[in-house]
Amino acid sequence: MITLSTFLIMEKSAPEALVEAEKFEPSSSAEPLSPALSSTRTKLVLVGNPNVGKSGFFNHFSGLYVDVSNFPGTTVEIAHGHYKHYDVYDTPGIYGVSSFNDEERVARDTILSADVVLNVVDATNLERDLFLTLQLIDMRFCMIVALNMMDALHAAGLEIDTQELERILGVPVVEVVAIKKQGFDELESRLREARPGHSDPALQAELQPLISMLKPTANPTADALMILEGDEVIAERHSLAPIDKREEIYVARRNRVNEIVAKVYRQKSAARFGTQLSEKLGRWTLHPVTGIPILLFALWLIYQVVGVLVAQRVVGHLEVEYGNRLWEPAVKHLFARITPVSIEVEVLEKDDDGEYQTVERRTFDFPNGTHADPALLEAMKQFMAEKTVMQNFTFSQETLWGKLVVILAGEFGAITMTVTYLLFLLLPLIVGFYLFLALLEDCGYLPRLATMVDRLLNTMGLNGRAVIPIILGFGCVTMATITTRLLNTSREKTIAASILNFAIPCSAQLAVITALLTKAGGEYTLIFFVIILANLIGIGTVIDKILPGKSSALLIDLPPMRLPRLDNVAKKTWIKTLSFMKEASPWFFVGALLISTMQVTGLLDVWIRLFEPITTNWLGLPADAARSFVMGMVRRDFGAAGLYELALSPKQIVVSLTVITLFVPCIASLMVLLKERGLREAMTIWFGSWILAFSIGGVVAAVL
Amino acid sequence: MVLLTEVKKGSRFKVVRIDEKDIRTQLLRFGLGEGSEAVCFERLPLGPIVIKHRRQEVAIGREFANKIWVEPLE
Repeated sequence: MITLSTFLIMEKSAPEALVEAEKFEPSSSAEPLSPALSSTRTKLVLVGNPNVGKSGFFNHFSGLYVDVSNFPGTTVEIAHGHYKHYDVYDTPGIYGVSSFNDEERVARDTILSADVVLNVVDATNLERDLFLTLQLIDMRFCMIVALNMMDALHAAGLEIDTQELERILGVPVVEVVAIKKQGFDELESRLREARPGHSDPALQAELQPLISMLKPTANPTADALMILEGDEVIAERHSLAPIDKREEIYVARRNRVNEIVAKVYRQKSAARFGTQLSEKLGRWTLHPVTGIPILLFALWLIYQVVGVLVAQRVVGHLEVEYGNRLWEPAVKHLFARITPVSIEVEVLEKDDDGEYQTVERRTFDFPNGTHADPALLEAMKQFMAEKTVMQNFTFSQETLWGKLVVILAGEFGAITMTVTYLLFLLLPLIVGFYLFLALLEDCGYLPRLATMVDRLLNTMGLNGRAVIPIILGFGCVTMATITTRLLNTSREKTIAASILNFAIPCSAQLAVITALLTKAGGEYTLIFFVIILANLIGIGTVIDKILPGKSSALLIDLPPMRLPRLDNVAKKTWIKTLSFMKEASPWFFVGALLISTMQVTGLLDVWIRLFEPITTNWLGLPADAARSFVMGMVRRDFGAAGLYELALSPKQIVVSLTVITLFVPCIASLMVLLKERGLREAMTIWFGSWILAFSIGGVVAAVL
Repeated sequence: MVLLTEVKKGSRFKVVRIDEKDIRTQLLRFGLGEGSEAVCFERLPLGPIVIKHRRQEVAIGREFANKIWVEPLE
């Protein structure tokens, strides 16, 4: 499977042959004469394990901000910027160059095309980090090592003999505290000293015959090593068969690392208080007695802020005030100037509960558009002056132009509804969710959360890592479907995507569901939740049984707990929000165009009529409910909101909510599903939802 | 020699054998190979085992832990 990110990388690394031709010679020059000339540019790639502060380096060198990720698996894209004559590339955190998962595959291709490698190493975790360092040295890259987090090393009472490390590795080693920007000057001045280090002579001898068999490539030694370590993709590129010596090489490398660590590390004094506190906190998050309350508290906090504050209050306000009452009428008035239209003005007043109620209505007809009748338009403006109003536009669809106006600016208009949804509904939700995700990531909690829920997710054929997409799903299923990328196997991605799109109500929908359930009462609320939960587990378990193969078990590195840095969190939220909006927006326009075209051509009404027998006979709901289900295809909360308008009994509320929750994913989710999981799987989920939603809804209707 | 899943919380052990190649190579990269010493840091009921090796904590799912043979140390 090729994800979008891998695809982008492949595009970026296409001119590999070019890079080869201009291979950078580190000893030959200091500063290039003309940094602007692309022929003198050098590809500097940042490589490091997860959580080593690598992105701080990228930030420093490129002046650009990039995601500083603390959860293995949240960065899959590669950022790139410029510094002097260097093109600087960041890569996802990896423990070694290989192809165990998507991040590694993405990182691998960027690394293999590097001219110079800046290897960022966590000074407190040399034993783990040097494994990657030695692998890069074995690949004969021109490289320099930045020994980051020297402050944490001292706080832990440890010391490293940097000069000895430099001597053993054979490449420059510079001490850095990236978050305090200490040591960057030295790093910059020594960057040109980057050189190939001391590899294992026996390994290099073994690589020689292989190198001569390769096709032209950026770094033949690196490609040869990948093939010797059994990498199928790289072997394929050179039309060779992979040689599986991985384990042998890994064991030898591990032993070399241990020897080096024994030579350069020293415990000098006891750890400081801060380090001890972080260790204790880390222990509490995992202990069942303290860990479960911490977990529940975290979930409760997310729900309160994102589910209640943002989804209900902020979105409720923005959507109505700015979307429905400001942006949409403005656009519609523009089209109304030259389009026959009838405008119904509703005068609103807030009641005691703070909800808007319609107190007066008046309709203004403009058979030739508002431009042709300025007097009436003026009268309408007079009527609306100083009042809170909602304007409902009914454009005449007699002409082709009228139909086009409806498609662009009607009820589901591509300019009207889409913009309202994107800016005033989706944007605040996404910001809220990414903010929390960033906080949880930065403090080191996410991998611990994954560990805590691992057992529970095992029943559905997932491991703890899947907690991220599932939590995100309660915010926005579309966004969550994108993050299923971080799961290890295609099987797990399928299971997670199915659970998300079948059974998890998104926060926009949850808001409406909550409101409706309050009407139905406590007993029915409980019934509803039992049904949904049973479905969630049931679907997961069934798909786990049906799908061939085996899911991967959890194996995750737990970084130390630390205080999140707010500037980091803010920047990360911003970057992720931006990239999500870029990715999702086009699909919202597509969805709106589709549904409004159906509306204009009358297909929408045909569909609603087709539904009616199922609605009334099988589910025991009023015929109008069918409309909600069709709306639900565009957006689920749309459908749920439609139910709000109907007079339903408590039993009917539970039935209809069950159906709408299990119903098809919204258009945006479907589009993402198509992109991430392919046509067959997306269609199976989509049509499966119809069957599942209506059969379970019918059973509930019969039993209750 | 016992399985990692049978090790008591807080006790030290030495990794003797890992029965699956993928786990073996991945743990080697985390710094843990056959012969390494580590401490059982936490055991979640029916869930993952968290081990601590030097300053590095790694959570290992049950299924994997059931393939790792260790020698408890006094």
